[in-house]
Amino acid sequence: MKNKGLLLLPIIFLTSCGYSLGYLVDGNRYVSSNFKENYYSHWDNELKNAKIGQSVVLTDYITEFKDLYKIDPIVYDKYENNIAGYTEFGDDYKMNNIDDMFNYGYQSKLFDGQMVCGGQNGRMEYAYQLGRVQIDKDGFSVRFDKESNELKYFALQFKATTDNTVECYKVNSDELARNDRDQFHNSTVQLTVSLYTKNEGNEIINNSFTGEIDIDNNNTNNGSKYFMFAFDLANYNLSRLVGVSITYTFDDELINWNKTKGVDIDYSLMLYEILIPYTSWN
Amino acid sequence: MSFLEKIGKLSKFNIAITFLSLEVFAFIAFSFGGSFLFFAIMSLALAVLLVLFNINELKNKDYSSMVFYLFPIFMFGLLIALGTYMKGHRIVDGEFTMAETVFVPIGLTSMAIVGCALANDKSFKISHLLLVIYGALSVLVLINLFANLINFGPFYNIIYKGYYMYFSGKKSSLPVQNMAYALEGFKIIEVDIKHYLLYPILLLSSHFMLFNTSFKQEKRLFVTYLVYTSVAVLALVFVPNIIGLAFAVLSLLIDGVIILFKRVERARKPILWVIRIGFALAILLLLIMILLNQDATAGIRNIVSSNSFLNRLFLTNGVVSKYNITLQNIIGENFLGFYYYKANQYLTPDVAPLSNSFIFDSFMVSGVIGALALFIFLFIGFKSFKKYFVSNKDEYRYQAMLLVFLIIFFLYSALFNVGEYGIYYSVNKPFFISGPFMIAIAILAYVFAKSLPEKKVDEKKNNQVEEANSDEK
Repeated sequence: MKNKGLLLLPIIFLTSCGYSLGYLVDGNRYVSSNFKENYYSHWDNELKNAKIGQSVVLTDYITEFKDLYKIDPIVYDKYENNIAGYTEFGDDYKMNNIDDMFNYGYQSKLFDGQMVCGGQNGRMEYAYQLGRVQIDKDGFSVRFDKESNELKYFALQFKATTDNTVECYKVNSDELARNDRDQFHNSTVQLTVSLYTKNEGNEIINNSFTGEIDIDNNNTNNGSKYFMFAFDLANYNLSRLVGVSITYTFDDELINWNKTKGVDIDYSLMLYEILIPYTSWN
Repeated sequence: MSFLEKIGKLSKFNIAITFLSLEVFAFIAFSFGGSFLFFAIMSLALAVLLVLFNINELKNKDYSSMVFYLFPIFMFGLLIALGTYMKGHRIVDGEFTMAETVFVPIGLTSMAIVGCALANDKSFKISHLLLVIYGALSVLVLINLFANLINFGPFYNIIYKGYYMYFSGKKSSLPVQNMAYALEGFKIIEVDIKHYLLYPILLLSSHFMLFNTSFKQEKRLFVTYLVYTSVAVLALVFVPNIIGLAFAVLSLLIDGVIILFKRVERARKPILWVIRIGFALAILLLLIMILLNQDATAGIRNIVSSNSFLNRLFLTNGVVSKYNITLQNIIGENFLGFYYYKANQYLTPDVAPLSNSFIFDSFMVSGVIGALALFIFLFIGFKSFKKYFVSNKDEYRYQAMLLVFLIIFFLYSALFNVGEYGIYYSVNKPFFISGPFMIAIAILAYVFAKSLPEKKVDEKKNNQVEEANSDEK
């Protein structure tokens, strides 16, 4: 009896895997009023140390939702190019419709179909912070629990913004900006999307795709424009997709001008949704 | 041969139905499938069979008292079915089918009939029922414990205090220290920890047997209850929570009081007085809380809120704050007291969130009269324990275990009941459609039926039978 009873204890300890611990986030993370504290920078070690595969500088890609039909003809005329259209598209194409694994963890914000800012809506946590993932140029990665072989295209919905809580100068002016509209600026972003695949030897290969996007009419946090970076994957012979990472470099006139004035401002991409439609995972 | 006599012949198959009863209780204690409709249908079928198979026994008992005792629980169920809570949810969010609503009075009354019938079933033993209920609970608690260990690991609610889970892009409504995993139907879901804690706390009440069983003389029984208690302890240790600890201490205290009551005659009167005073204080507290939440007494509420101690006690602590939401609208527009939100957003009656207490929820779901009917049922049931103990119809330790189980269940449900306990999956299981509540009804009815005196046989008939017997000799 003594031995049988003691058997229960190691069984209990062996089951203590903490499988869902990876989905836990400190309650104070990513919801600070301090812009600098909200960057998401989680990197999976295996993806970080992946072998370099193909590095493609894209020439054929889109930067706005209204042009997505050029890659995916089905969306032509089906969705309006406005908030309602984005929302409808997001609900139809979101990744957590395809597989349940996209529901878990902080990065599930990028797979839940919310393509636009949630607005203020009273509570800070149910506002814009609900929908977006804020990243700096070093970006982040997402490792998938399963693999997908059928890759048609990749799409990323995002905004670009600067930290508008910092007192700064208007572009090419000695005058301090009083509000967001005074902080009107243009920037250029070189966005790199890395799609990690497995080869025959089960090694993880980093296949990167870079495109340049002109971020024009940026009103910083207030009313800045949505962009959709999307490109066709049919010609790249990719299979066994196991992860994605996003990094970028940028050139922003507001930041450059203020640097000359001795003022440092943070820049960020606000990611809303990652879409890899028409895939199946196992 | 009359119809009843023909039916009475079925009694030789009694043992099969008794076994079936134990299976039904096991399913309900385990919350198998999580379907109240399934439990209600099973209990109805069982009630019919038990009455038929025990008709001979029931004929000789005071069944009119049993029928009167069933009336309040039937009223409670009927007023729930006719009330606005289930109807409102059916319209607003599609919860509670018509079948579930109809079966609320049927299911609850059937469980009470089952309890009464089992009390008169010669092949039934309360010791078997307790083994089955605790056995089913221990399986459920073990599954829930493993689910938490696999997903979070031991002591997660201390280690990861202040962390939140993200699911489908949304932060959980509760921090991880107030969350747990539990079996719901046939899947494991994230739940409020207060829902998880109910089952190990109920299971822990089995430790009473360890104080009243000799290991040397009844080794198998002792070991069985030791296993049940160990599973409960492990479930509470690996998911440590102040509520679990408080109820563990409380259950030991209740054990001590019951043992003291049994063994020390001088202690009985003081204990009974303490219970009476405690009960009176609880009713006074209830009346004060109802008073404080009415518009007409806003002046009194202002006085209470101006004192920091009284404010914390009656208005702002985590336990009462949910009660207050319900109580503020307790006397609704309907003369029966059916609940309506003051700011009625929908054309149909709106529904309030459940409070943390079955006491206030019973007002909301069945109105004042329904709640009173429930309280009458509970009061008579608990009062019957006095005669039940004196009757010696069951072994004292099993009688006491029933009492401990009921006290723990109703005390927990009065303070920490959670009906809407799903974090990401919508679950709405008010107390009146939960497995433990159905079991509690059956136990109370059993105790009531057992406490009834034997039916007085007609003396003249008795004498005639005796004379006939002596003539034959």
